[in-house]
Amino acid sequence: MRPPSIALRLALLFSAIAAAVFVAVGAYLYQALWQQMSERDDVALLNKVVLIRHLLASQPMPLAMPEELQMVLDNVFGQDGMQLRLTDAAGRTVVLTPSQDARAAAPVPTWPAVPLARAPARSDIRDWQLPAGPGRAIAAQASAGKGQAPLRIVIVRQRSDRLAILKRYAADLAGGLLGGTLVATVLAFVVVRRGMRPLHDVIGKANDISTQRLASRLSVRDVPAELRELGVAFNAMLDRLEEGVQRLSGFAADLAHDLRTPVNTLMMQTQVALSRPRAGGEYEALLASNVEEYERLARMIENTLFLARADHAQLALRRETLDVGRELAHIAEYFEMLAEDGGVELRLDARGMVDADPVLLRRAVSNLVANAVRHTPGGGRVDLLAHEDGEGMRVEVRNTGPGIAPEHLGQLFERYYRADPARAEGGSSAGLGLAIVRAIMQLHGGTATAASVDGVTVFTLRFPPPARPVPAGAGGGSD
Amino acid sequence: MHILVVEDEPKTGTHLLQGLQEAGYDTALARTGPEGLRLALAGDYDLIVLDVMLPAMDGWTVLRTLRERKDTPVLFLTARDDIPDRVRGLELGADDYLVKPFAFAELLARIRTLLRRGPVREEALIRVADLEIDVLRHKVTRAGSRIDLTPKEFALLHLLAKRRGEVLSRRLIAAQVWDMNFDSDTNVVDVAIRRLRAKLDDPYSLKLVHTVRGIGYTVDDKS
Repeated sequence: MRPPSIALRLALLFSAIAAAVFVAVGAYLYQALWQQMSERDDVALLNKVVLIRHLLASQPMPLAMPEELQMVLDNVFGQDGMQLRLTDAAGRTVVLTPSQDARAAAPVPTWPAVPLARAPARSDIRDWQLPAGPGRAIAAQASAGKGQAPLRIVIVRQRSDRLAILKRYAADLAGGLLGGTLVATVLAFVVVRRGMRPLHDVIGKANDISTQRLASRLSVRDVPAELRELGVAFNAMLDRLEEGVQRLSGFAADLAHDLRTPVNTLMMQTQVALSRPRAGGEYEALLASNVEEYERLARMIENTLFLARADHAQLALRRETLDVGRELAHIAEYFEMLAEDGGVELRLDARGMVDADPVLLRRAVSNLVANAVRHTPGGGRVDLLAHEDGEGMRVEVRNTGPGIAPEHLGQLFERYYRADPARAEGGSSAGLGLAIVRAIMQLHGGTATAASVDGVTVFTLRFPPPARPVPAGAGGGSD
Repeated sequence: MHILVVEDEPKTGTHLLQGLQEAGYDTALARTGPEGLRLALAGDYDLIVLDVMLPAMDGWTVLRTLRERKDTPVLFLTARDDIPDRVRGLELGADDYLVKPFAFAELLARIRTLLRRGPVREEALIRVADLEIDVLRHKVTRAGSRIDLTPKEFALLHLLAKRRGEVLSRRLIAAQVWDMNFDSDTNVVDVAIRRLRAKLDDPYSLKLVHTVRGIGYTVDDKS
């Protein structure tokens, strides 16, 4: 299953948060209203007690005009669902105001009344179950006339009206909550979509890019902070891609150009030979010459493929621990006659061990030695050196001779780079030899460098130390 | 010796056939995979040279089907030398492979190796005309007089002499004498041959080391 879109995910998350906040706020408001209402009701109850006490205190005892009093009291208690019951010391009911809920004779609270000496407080009010629903009740002592005939006041208050209000309020709250959450969700979705627009811009840019149009870049400055890093990484990737593509197409162009020379030779010499009848020997010479060109082509193809594969790290290294002295002696042996033939002295001084692919090591060093022997004038010298230092194995091929100009040194290892354009030798691996050396060293995690000072040219191959644990303190030296 | 060549490229096929015939082999040619398979199964060939890229049925399929019934040695030719390709061919039961483009001399050498059943008996004494090579003592004489050769010169002469009459490519010589298994793009072999000639042939009228232009070198008594 595909993961849901970020906009949808964010909107849902947002609506969940909104719903949670709404519920919390609603609950708080509901609670606060409930508190406030009960408080107000209680205060009203208390006020009534004080009022009745006051009223009774001014009455003669026994109650002179119970009817009149009853009327007054009926008026006072008629609304608000309150009911007053006055009982005398003998427990007889003196006054009972009518109740809104007259269905049944309600039981009468019997708990101790607030003494006359004390003003009633909220804590004296108790919950009281009425036939019509929950209510509140208070009992207090009073005395009619001048401090005689204690009376008991009981005021009961129904809560149903309040509950109805709260219920409506709760329903309103729930409706608002639901509606608010919905609106918040929709708004969140819209806002998130809008907020993600820069991302869509990035996508649009990415869609615009093809190998022909790699120069296009994201303008990182107009992008929000969150996407800036992505934009920078994206641009860096484009940089690398562009460089790679340029190098590749340059490589392809170089290769095509290099193929032209042998193909041209082949076409020319064959067509010239065919333009008129010739003796058998001439044909033979032509064919032999053709073969040389074909071999040159084959070598170019082989080298190009080797490099392509090295670039994709498709070449599996078969590393072995090799005795460098033996390997280099082997190579020196191969070039010995060639050097002698050119009047070049070939010297060898190599010892130590290296972890490397034997075939590739031989190929890299051979390329360097072949180069050195080729470019050393008669009477010169080629040194083949190898020793271990703190940074691993170091193989050097030094030769005397005209040297290489500093501006060429950095590019020597590039494909098809020629320090001397005039010296494009026929039949040579045409500018790929050193690129192959570098590719081989990169496969080994090493480096290939060149230096040329005072008529001595040095090519240096560095192999990293084998990946065995290095004792602390070793391997720090540099030169 | 009977060799079946399965190759769809017309020129390559024709010239392979011609080359092999001139090297003394009886040959047959198939242009497609199914035809090659039919011939291979029906006929009695000593060796099959099989191209991998074939119409109708590729070389891998031909090889796999053939191996279910026959063990005829197969040398496959491929234009792709990726390691998986080579491994695949050898796993399917090919005996050797050559990557295009290859030198014809190289193909001949591989074919000869495949056709030589059993271990080659090393000759202790090789004679070519008045040249005598004592392999065990590393002693070379011509017309009775001793010729001093360096170890590499001796190895080179020994290689050429024990395969006398066979043209060996520079690459093969570099691989056999110096163990350099890649095209090193130098004329080391030519220099070595020149030095060998200076000692072996220059003082005598009968030349034994011959250059076959465009192919390589051979040692033979061509008188």
